[in-house]
Amino acid sequence: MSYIKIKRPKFSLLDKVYVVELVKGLVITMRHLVLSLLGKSRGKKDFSTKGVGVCMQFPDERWDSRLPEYYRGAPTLVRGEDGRERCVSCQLCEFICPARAITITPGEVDPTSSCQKQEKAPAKFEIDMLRCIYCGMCQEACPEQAIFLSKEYLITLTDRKQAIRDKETLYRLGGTRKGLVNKWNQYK
Amino acid sequence: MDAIINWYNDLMSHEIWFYLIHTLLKLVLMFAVILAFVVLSVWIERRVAGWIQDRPGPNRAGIPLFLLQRFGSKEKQPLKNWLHFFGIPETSWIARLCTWLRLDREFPCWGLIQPCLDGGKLFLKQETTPSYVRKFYFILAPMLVLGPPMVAAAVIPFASEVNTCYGHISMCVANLDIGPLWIFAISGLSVYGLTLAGWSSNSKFPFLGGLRATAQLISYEVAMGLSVIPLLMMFGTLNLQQIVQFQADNGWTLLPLWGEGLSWQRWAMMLPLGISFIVFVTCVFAEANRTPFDMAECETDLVAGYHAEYSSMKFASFFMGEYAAMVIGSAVVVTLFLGGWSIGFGADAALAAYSEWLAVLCQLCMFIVKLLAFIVFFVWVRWTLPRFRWDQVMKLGWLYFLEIAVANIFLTAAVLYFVK
Amino acid sequence: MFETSLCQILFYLLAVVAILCAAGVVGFRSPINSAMSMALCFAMVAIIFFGMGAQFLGIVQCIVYAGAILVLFLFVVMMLDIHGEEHSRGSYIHAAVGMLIAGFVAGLLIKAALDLPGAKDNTCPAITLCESAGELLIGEARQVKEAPAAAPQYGGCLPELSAAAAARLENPAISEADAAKATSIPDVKLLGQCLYTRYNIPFVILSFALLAGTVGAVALARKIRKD
Repeated sequence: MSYIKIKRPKFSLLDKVYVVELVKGLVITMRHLVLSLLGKSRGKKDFSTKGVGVCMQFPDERWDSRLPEYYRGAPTLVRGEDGRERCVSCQLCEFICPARAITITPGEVDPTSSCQKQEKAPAKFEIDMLRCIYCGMCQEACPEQAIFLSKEYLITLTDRKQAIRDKETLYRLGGTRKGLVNKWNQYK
Repeated sequence: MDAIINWYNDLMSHEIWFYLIHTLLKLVLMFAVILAFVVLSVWIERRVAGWIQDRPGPNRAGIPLFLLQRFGSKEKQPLKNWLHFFGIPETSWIARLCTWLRLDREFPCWGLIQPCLDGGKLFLKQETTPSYVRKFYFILAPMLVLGPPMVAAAVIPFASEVNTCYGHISMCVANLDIGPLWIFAISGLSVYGLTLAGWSSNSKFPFLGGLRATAQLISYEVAMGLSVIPLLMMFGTLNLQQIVQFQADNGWTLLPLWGEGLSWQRWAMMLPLGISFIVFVTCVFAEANRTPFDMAECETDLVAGYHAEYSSMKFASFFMGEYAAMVIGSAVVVTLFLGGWSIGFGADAALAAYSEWLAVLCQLCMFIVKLLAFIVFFVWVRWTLPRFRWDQVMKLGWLYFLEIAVANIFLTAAVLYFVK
Repeated sequence: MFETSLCQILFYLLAVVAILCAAGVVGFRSPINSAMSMALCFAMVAIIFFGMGAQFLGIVQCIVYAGAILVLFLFVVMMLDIHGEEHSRGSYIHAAVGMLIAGFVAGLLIKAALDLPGAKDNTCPAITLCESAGELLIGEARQVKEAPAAAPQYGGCLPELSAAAAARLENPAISEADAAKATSIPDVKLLGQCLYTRYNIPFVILSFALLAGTVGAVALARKIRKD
């Protein structure tokens, strides 16, 4: 094993006396203080907020419009353009979920559904938001593009039971997605 | 009515009762001010930390005025109702000022309520005492931390003297002839609290924290005691009230711009006094266990230091003790080096000639302003400097500051000898 | 009258607590308890000094003994394993020898105390202390014999009153108002004069003894390793 010799900085006597360096540090922090009190902190322009410092006053100002494309919020289920439930209850997301937040109970396909080719449909689909860690593995694993992470980040509960989101809630939050998945098309 | 006045006159003209009553009043004032400052300094710490780090700090907690709507109207905007009640139009400057002061949302406390709420929270939290602690000392330790700074404050003068018709009042709880020594002695006793807390917790990290606290406080007490000696050599007295009076007449120790302070002899003294100031202030930081020196509770090495096993109000008393030590440390530095209560530029004597009570009031305000400024300095340094390493702390204390302080005494003696 | 009696009550109260604490130092099994009762004992003695008007002495007692030396004791004791100590029984021979030495030292101290001027005339201990010290400082300026008339008034309980009384003690002719204005007795000066004139040689010898002790401790602590 070789070892790496770390290069330590050489200090002059003035640095060692420390007083001058201390004053320099104090000037830096004081500049930050004054600038943030004046509302001219660095980076403030790119980050249009009111008030002191570069800090979003959360309940008054929200992240919503500034969230990036790749933001990972609460997972939701989506319907296709044709209104079909995309989920086929393959349970891959349930298996891959590291926090075991997803519980799927497979059931029969609805006889009125437009595509009867798939074998299963979720009878129950529950996500426990107290367990979910927003990792996005379910979205990654899903072969049907049925589960997506939304941009919802504000999940407030007054009860543990409220944390468990059932199928209806998930579909309501997810809405519909464009792009047909023609895999199960009866004409195929 | 006359009977009461007579009784009051009789009471106050009795030397001992007069002494007891005015001392008790000063004591209550001092305690109230210090406790208020402990709370205030917590707030200052968090706000200034926020500003330095480009964020607002705790700016939310206030007394929400919408609580008041229950007593008044059912509408949700009490400000509007109030304006309407007083017949002020909503576009007037008063209304805009009220909105700017956030009166439409909550009482304008700028988050000042936060430390009070924190205190309340800590008070209501569950108190857990681990089964393996040594109970007696475990309970005694927080008291020993909070008590000494309060007692040490007794000798700090917060205004000058007043002659009433009943007698002479010196605005200082105990006008002792040994002011600085009293403060060193009493605040030095708080080391017992830290040590005992560490030991009685019967747990490794608190114990290490307690040992560190003991070693550090004892080390820096030596340098601190020696570093004020140049000052005492110049003043020739140990009485803090007289020291401040001297500074009021002849210029503050570090700002001799009036009275005798304009002489070149006084400016020649600035060199030893400056050294003494730097050493003393650093030692005060170390004694108050503040950040560059908070070895006793440095969370990266020791979980939380000596108070790791404490919860609820016992933890809060350690917290308050630390801030009380900071307030007292600032008060001592202000008294010794920055002129204490004196307003400066000869304004004290002029005011006192006009009205003694007015002078006392102004001086009290001046003292509080200076105290606040120095507390902000404390906080400012905390958010500037990283924590020292343990060996650096010991080296600084024993190898540099002790030697510098001793050499400084001789330097002062030489300056005093050659200059006069 | 009021002051004197209050002063005496306080003195006896503090003295009793101090003696109890001193007994506790010997009596407690746990070294920490012993150390803490020793600290309390020192604090009581310091307060007694304060009551006598010897503020400097009291505060030095506080700084040096309670603030530094005892903390070091505690520092060392805490690192020991005190469980064994708590359950051990000392031998009677040790106790007997210790008692003998303690009795000898106590006898010496009592003898010295009784030899102080004014000790036998039943005056307040503060007066005798101040007089014996003041004698040195003021010397010819004041006759000790004139003092007793004013002496009982000097309670020394409350610092400012004691100052006034002390000023009166020095010059019975000055008025009460002037006495009140005078600051308290310059006991720092008094002590310094005592220490560097009359007791200079014992002082120097003592400091040499302490130095020898320090050097010895360092020599003992530095183990010479032979490897």
